[in-house]
Amino acid sequence: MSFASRPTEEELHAYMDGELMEARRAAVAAYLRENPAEAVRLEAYRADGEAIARLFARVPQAPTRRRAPSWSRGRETWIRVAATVLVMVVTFAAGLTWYWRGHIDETVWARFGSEALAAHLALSTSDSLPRMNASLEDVAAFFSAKVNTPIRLEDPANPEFTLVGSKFLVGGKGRVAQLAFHNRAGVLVTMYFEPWPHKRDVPFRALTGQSNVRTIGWSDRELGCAVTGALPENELERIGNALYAGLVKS
Amino acid sequence: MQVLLALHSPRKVRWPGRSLIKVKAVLSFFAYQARVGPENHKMTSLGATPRVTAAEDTLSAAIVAEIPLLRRHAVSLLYNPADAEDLVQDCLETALAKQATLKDPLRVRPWMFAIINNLFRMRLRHGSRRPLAASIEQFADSLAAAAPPEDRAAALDIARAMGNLSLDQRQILLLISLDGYSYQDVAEILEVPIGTVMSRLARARARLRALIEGRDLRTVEE
Repeated sequence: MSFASRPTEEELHAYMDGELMEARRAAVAAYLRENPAEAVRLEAYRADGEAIARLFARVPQAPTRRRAPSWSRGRETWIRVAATVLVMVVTFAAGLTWYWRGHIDETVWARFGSEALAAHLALSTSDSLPRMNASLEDVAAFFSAKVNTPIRLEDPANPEFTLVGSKFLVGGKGRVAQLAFHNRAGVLVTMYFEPWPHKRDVPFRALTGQSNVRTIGWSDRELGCAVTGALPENELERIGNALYAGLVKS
Repeated sequence: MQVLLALHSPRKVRWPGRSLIKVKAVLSFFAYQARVGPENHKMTSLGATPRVTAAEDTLSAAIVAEIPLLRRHAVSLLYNPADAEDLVQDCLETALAKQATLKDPLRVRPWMFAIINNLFRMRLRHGSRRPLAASIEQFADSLAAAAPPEDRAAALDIARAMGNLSLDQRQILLLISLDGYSYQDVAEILEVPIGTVMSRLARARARLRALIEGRDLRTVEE
């Protein structure tokens, strides 16, 4: 076989596939007869082709589930929906909690203010002058135990006010303490203390009043405080600040 | 029913027209099934659409009837059934939308193979992922597991070797050996000259054999 008649690789494959033009078939057939190794090589290719056909004929022609094992558009959508729902639920729950906490706070403050006012009014009559029924140490020990924080009560030694009475009372939520002061003009001012249900500190706020008697309150370090007297609220706030700072040590 | 499952799978509809196309495909499929029965999904001789000619039936029904073979081709090409399902559905939608471009109604199958291969090349150009080595192994194992026990080892060799070919090489071997297309059909499907088909096929076969025998022809190939 001359070099010129030697088939190309493409012609060999075309011959094997029955695609070679008639004019070249005889030449390729002769080449393969003279080169048995080439014939074996082509036979291996043909066998591979048949193996491919057998193997991939088994590939299912029915639809398969889409992308289930991996992250997919569908799954991402579900995650997005789930995340949205979760955010909505959390937001709603937070709003509800906020609403109810505020609602509960208002109820607690209203009750606390009413009790402080009632306790103050109870000392206003001539029959019930304030007396020192409980020492400041006893009161301090009681609240220290309640709030798990050492609290020390001292006579504020404020020249404006004189401590004239102290006692334990039973309020709507248990034991409470009341301290009574007179200012220089003899006006009665009372401080009312109660273990507070929330840890959150709350600044001064007007609670209640009757006639010219007003009650303001605040909470500090799990201690609810109210100041009541026949004075304007801003004056009560000033007095409350001064007395509390001088009275309560920790 | 597999057509319906394919059409109704949870996939984003990209524009409203596609929904109409899908509805039309479903109706066509019902009409087709009523006339020729489900056994018509079996592969028959190449080039011509089996039994149902365009003159006798609607073209869309003939298109739908090609889905099983397209799916087999796509799964074999991508080594990933989920990606293949997407590709087939894209092909179906494109074919139904572009029926007017089919010049010879008797050559629905090569026309659809050309569409699916076009879509496949577009995906490659736009950076769609190639099968990972792990998924090739997994798919090869599942393919070989379906072979008779005495052929299983050889089937696994072929499956792994095919998985390690380039996509171009795997594609041409599938078109010739599995789908049985002629060189001329493959040239039309891939939109390349017939000489390119012949050289690509020769290289693919050599590379496959080298992989099976454990030789490395990568330097020769590239």
